[in-house]
Amino acid sequence: MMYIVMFLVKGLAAGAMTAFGGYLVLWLFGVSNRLQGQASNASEMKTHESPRSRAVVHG
Amino acid sequence: MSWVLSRMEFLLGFGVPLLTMAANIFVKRVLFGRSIDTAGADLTLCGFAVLLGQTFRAMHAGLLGGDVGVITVIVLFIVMGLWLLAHKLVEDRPEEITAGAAASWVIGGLTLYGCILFWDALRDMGYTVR
Repeated sequence: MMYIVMFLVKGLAAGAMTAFGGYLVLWLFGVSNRLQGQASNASEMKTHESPRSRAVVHG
Repeated sequence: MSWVLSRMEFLLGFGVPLLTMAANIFVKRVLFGRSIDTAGADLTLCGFAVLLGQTFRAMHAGLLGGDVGVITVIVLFIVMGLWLLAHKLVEDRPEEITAGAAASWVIGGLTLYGCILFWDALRDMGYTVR
């Protein structure tokens, strides 16, 4: 039982370090606190009408 | 196993997940500007792949049986559950790093740590792992 607790604690420490490493990469490259990149514009277009369909509606 | 990490345990259990996460985020977010909301789930899937591959290899060599085989299958199911959880904790394409996203990243690191050191852990618990 003690062994499993020890394994979990060390695993959580590894997980925390991993998450910190991910955040560090974001911070180092000046993109902190942002999960989305340039692809966010593309996803926005997917959820809305395409320019072509808008042109048809308004044209 | 003790509280003090050996050099190899540190490299495998801490270094590999850390470097995998850093590389994943660098390539996705920095190089290609993609969303990294599933970075934790990606790591969890990496852990699943590592453990599944080693399990099949052990089965092929006839080394997996008895209690170790049963535990391995159970752990594989648990890892699949953690993979789903890591996805569930993150909203679809969130703008900022939420608590759920951070938790999913931690789950990813924990899972990869556990899968890489799985056989060592079983051996230390007294099971016969060849």
